[in-house]
Amino acid sequence: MNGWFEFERDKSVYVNHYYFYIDDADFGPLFFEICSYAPWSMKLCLNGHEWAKRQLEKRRSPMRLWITVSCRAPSRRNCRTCQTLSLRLETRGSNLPASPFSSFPFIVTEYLFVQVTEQMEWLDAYLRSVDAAFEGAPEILSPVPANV
Amino acid sequence: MDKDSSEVFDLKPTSRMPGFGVEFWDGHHSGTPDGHIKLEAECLDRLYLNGYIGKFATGLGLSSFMRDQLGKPVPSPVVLGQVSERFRQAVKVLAEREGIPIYQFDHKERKDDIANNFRQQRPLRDGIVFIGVAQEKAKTSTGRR
Repeated sequence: MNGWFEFERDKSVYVNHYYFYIDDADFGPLFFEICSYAPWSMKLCLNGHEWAKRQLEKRRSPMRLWITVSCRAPSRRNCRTCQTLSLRLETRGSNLPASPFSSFPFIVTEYLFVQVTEQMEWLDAYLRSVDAAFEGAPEILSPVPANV
Repeated sequence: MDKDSSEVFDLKPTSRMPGFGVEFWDGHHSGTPDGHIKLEAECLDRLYLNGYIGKFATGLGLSSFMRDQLGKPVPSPVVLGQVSERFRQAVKVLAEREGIPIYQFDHKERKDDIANNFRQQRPLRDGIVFIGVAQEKAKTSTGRR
């Protein structure tokens, strides 16, 4: 084979890889990597959590919503019969609006008092809003197995 | 922890949606303050997509690429080196023009930690935060005469 080159891919060598760390409007933080030498392979890394956060954020729904529920019954032993729960909403570490539910008429400062049954309805409403946020998601991430 | 409160607060998963599982955990188990319930959301974490050009996977395809597309009569490793050099220069020009920092990763550095630091220092939206360069092992096309 004088005068010709044969190309093989049976050896591993150290080559420069370029990592582009990007903030994407839809996917949030991601990076892609390009090998600087032939065959110039690429790798794209997306994060489903970051994507979900960005999607919710674009819809002005806080992802970092922490819900703490404390029972206001005289003692925890009779929680089962207690009908009133104190439900505190807070967002942490984000510039997102305090709550998508701030238009609810029964919010008093940061506490709202709801019946247990109402609480479950409220959670259903929250889940529906999350569900709505996932409508129109790119096929690349949808559907996603629930047990991932 | 008394049994009654456990029954009240140890709620089972109430809903499962495609791509977004929601569960409620008792504060006693999850480390949240006593008597509090934490809402946790689960969804897909990292997703890696590998991209490659099938034609470049074989020596013959690579040779024809250099001959036909790059117009080089002799498909040599020198040609591949020139392509790599042009790519490096293009990255450098892009970084200088856009003011994007280029960072050389060390072998033992965690790239995620470095990336998090850069993201905090340059809280960009919809742009390249920084470009990292790392020397890593890869199966590449080696040419021999």
